[in-house]
Amino acid sequence: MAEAAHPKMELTFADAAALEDARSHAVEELLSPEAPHSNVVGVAAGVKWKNGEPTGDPAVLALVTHKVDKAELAEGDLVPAKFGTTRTDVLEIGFPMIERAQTQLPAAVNGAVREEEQQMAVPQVPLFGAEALARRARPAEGGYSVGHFKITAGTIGTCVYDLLPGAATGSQPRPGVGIPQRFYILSNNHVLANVNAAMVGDPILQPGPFDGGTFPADLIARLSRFVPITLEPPTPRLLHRNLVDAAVAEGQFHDLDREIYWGGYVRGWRRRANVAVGTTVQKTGRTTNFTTGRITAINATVDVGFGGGRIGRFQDQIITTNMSAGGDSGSLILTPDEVAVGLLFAGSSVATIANQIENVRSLLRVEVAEQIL
Amino acid sequence: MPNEIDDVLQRHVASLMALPNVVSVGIGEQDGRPTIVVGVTEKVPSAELAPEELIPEMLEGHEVDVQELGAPVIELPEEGRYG
Repeated sequence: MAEAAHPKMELTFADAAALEDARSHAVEELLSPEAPHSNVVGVAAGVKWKNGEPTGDPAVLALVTHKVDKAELAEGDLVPAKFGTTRTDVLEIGFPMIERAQTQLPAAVNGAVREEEQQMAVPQVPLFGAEALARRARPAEGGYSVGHFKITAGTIGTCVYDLLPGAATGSQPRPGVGIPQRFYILSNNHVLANVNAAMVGDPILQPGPFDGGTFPADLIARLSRFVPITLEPPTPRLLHRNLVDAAVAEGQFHDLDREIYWGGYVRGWRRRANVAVGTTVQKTGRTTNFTTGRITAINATVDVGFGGGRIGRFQDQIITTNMSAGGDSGSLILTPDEVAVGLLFAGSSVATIANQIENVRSLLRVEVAEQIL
Repeated sequence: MPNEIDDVLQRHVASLMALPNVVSVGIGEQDGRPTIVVGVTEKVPSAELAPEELIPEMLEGHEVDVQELGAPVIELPEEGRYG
């Protein structure tokens, strides 16, 4: 008996087609952004219910978070009894994901649906969480989880392209002009190249493996190049000349968005000589989301642990107050007005360490933004 | 003048970084004046250190500011943090 649906709950194809005009009219009126109806979160085609029983009559359903007494509603919030000749019904569905409701609920509702079924149709995606940026996203923006297939997970800093004709690095840097041939994810060597251990062409996953990314379903890019890091052991740290922990992986243009989640567009990048102590900075990262901090030291030489007792000594680093945690490696550090200053790669319980973005640009030969600010 | 403190720092990086607990040296700022900042995993009372292990209070006329920095590691989830 269980499979025998109540005949009066079903909506035939002909009925649904006949409802279409009324349904789209209802969408326009009930879900109008200019004059939203209180509590209405969706519109669907279904059948009219009366006294807890389906009547079989085709109806336009107004999906509401909760039903409210007519007396408590303003006139403009009332769901009309009819759209044209089609009757309406009001279905209480609780709180779905508000920002997804309009696109997902109507698709999920086809024919008459009872309240409990309706609730099951709502995707159970957590709205908030410490690892909201650990999910899959296409295009992927700066701030989202990413990683070489053999590592855990880090963060996409932003997306970049090869220096264009006329571009210069060194004492008089300037952007070039032309047509980029390739587009890349920018992050750390230890995120995209597994601390020098990766091969060019290795798969890069978004989200990173720690966040459930698998090959080939979550392939977003392939490792293109990285700046090798010198470590002790084997090389005594007095001989280290590390400036950056940086790498790029080439992806398809339509999968890569250089905007930063919550941060916005990168307006430009700042020369190392103009990065000043005391400047407030911000970043968006996979683990701690959006955070701000203050630069406490520049031109810093720092010994950084790479796991397994390995230490890398880095020169010309930026130190900020603590604004990160494990998983934020690769985040782009910017001023509050969206000028890139650093590439985050390390931290302690009280501080965050970043490479100068000018060194990242010169050594990887990639353009981060079209202005030097 | 503006680069003078950078030159001083560069002359002393290696010797400062060789001191116990020191994990970073850089240029900071205090009361509008540039200072040499030395980051240590933890601060230790001078009395517990041998004279040659002490961080100088001044270097060629520039103040030295000792700050607790902890132990910096690459920022990967879990194994990175505790690796």
